[in-house]
Amino acid sequence: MDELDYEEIVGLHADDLYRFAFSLTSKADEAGELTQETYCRLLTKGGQLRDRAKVKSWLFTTLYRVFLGWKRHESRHPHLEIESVAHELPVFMPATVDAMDGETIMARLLEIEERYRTPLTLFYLQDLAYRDIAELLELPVGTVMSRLSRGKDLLRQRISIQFADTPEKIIPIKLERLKKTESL
Amino acid sequence: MNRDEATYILRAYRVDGQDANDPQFRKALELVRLDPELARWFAEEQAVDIRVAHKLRAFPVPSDLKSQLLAVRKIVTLPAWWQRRGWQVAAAAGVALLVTISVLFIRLATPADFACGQSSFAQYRDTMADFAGNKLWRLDLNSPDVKEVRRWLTQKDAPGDLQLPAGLDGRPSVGCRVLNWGGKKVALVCFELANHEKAHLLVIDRDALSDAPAESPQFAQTGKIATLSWSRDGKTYVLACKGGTQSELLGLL
Repeated sequence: MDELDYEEIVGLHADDLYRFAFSLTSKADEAGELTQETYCRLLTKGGQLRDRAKVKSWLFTTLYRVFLGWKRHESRHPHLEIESVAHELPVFMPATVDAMDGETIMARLLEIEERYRTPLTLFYLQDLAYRDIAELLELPVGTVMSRLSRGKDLLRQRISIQFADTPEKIIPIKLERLKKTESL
Repeated sequence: MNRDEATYILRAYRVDGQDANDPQFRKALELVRLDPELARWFAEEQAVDIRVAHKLRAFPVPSDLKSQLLAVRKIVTLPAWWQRRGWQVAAAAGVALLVTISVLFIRLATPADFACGQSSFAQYRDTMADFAGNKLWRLDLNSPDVKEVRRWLTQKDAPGDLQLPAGLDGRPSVGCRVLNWGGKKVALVCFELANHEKAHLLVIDRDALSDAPAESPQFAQTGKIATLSWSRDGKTYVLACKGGTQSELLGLL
């Protein structure tokens, strides 16, 4: 990989990789370190990459693998059962999200259990399709779709908690309502 | 596909339209076009997703992140080209191929040269036995006519005036080859035995060997090759036969 290629790849993907890393670690220094380690591996092992189109996917996958390696090493991430959420399709007024900044969204995202947070972050960063996410996380496509759906619910629930004092800003539409509409 | 299935699938649809050609989404999007209520839900879902995605991508990144990553380039010691896995595999394969070709070339080369230095007869015998037992070489001359074999050997300054043991005399030959032991020519004459095994008679001037055997045949086993060795009329003979026993070899004398 020559100098220009590397610079270009840093320019294209570094920010999203950092955001993804932050969503995994919730710490700025660890996110930076994780991103740096990923690029180090690109420099040392990226020569094996023949298809330039796969660089992005390779970077996200590598970053995630490095993170899992760290996690296994530290063994201090106990598995937490997700709290049950009502199966509803909460809909926010777009203005609700408009009122938040990136840090607030990230903070709410970090409140979600990792197995939902990771695919959801990748989904919102828009770099990878659900099939790529499934490959990266080594999960069946159906599981990824399920986790994306549940993750969205959880994120909106977290946001709604923050706006609990102004509930009129949030208009949840339950499935039952959709079904009633359908039967009309 | 019903509305529930469509909503479930469309929750994985990226807002920038990158997934529009995915067959799974295409069906769900078709339903969106036909179902106004689903279309309204989808529009709201997308409106929220667009904003969440936008906000997430606005999450601040350290201002020095990129410069640090570019600096990594200067710090990381890249493995030299010969240390990289691809090169290592290719180099190993190349070396293996070269060695194989070289070995084959050496085996097939004419004549076969063996450097002996101050070697003993035992070394000579074992080297010849090892050579005779190896199939990766060819005869210089293929001929069932022993007289022709003798003539050819003589022309090549190899001991063509050899005395065949009684058990081989009168038997058609397969052919012959000239080897070189420390500058001295060795005549190798090949015979086929009744059991289709080959018997190789190797003949060298006795003077070439400091501790050549006496006239009385000596039996030795070198790996799978059995040998009988003796000297007569200024020449030293080694009869080598794969899988042969002492009595079988003695039966050829």
